[in-house]
Amino acid sequence: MKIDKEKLSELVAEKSGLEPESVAGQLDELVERIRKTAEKGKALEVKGFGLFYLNEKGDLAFDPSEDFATEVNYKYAGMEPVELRRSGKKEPEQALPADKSEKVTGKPAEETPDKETRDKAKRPGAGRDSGPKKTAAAESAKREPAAAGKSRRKKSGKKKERDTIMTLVITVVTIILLATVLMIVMERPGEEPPQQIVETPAEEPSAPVGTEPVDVPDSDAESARDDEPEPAPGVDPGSEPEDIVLQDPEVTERDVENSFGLHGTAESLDETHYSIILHSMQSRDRAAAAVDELRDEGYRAVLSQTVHEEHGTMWRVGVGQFQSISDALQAVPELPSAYRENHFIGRIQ
Amino acid sequence: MDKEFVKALRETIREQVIRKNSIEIDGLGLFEPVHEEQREEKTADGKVVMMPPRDRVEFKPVKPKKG
Repeated sequence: MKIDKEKLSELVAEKSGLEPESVAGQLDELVERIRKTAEKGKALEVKGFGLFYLNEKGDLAFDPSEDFATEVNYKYAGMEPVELRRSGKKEPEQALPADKSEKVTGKPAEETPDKETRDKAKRPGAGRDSGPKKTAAAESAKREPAAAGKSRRKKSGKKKERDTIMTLVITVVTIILLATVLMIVMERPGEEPPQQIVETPAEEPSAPVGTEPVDVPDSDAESARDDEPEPAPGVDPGSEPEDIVLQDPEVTERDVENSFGLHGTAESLDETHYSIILHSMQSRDRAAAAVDELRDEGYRAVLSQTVHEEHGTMWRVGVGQFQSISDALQAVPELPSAYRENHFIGRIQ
Repeated sequence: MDKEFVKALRETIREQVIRKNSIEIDGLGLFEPVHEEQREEKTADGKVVMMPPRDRVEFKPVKPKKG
């Protein structure tokens, strides 16, 4: 469906509570300002939305801001490129023998020394530890005293051997334990959100206070350029973007500490926010039961309703309340393991 | 220009793009939702990676009327 300017004005008026005529007027004003700024060879940044500028062809171009792009792409937020195996031709050459091929996933280093040490432990210990053998040695000592002396010497030698083997076993077990701990630790960073999202710049601290749109000082303009990896080709490098700065209401700022996070009590907030959606169900009762269960576990569980094109009304069970998708993604590693790979970030009104 | 207006405009455009609706603003251009399927890509160091699917917004400007 295409939304035209008239419909857009209606929707904006509905959302902002402003008069539709006023909205239409301000929209015209914004369009004119974007055009004039671009024609001057400058870029105009609408905070939280994007940058308008003239590209090298002389056409008006728009680069969405990182926040806006992330919000539009919320369904796939957090998904990262997955490395694929190279062509199958080389694999058989590199593959291990049939009996070991299953261990390619990282265990061979543990398995091989383990087996060896087990074998070593068995070999020298086999003739000593069992009771009957000891008796047999004693009997032979009784019969042949000289031989008994030899056997004692052999025993002390074997003791040393056994100590060495024990040390080896302990060392190998320690190495295996350390390797396992390392593997667990290494896996965690992989679950973190992509750097692009983590580095989302804080807007509020740099935004000047005021109800009128304000031009941002030079330093902010520079940081705005940093957000855009490819600077606008049609823009004069010396020019600075004119910014329209937005500030969220102070209420949200004050509520942040107590109202957001993965754990705690879900609160009804005035502003829109995000939650990590774990379930989406058609049955409200089942969804409510899931919410209760999560609340019992200390999570800030949220029940919300959405209308799906195919399935009709769906009830979403989410945990946590977050101000941004980045915040939500940072909380994902704290989820129970079953949900870490099976969730999506959703906006809750 | 009202702060509330710019905020509401930004949110409205975002919501409409998420709902796969295009927004055409006279004198400015068209904001259009674009979905990219997952695809294989070869990186500079020869690795083959599967890029995840992506939703993004594309902007097509309108040429200002001359005259």
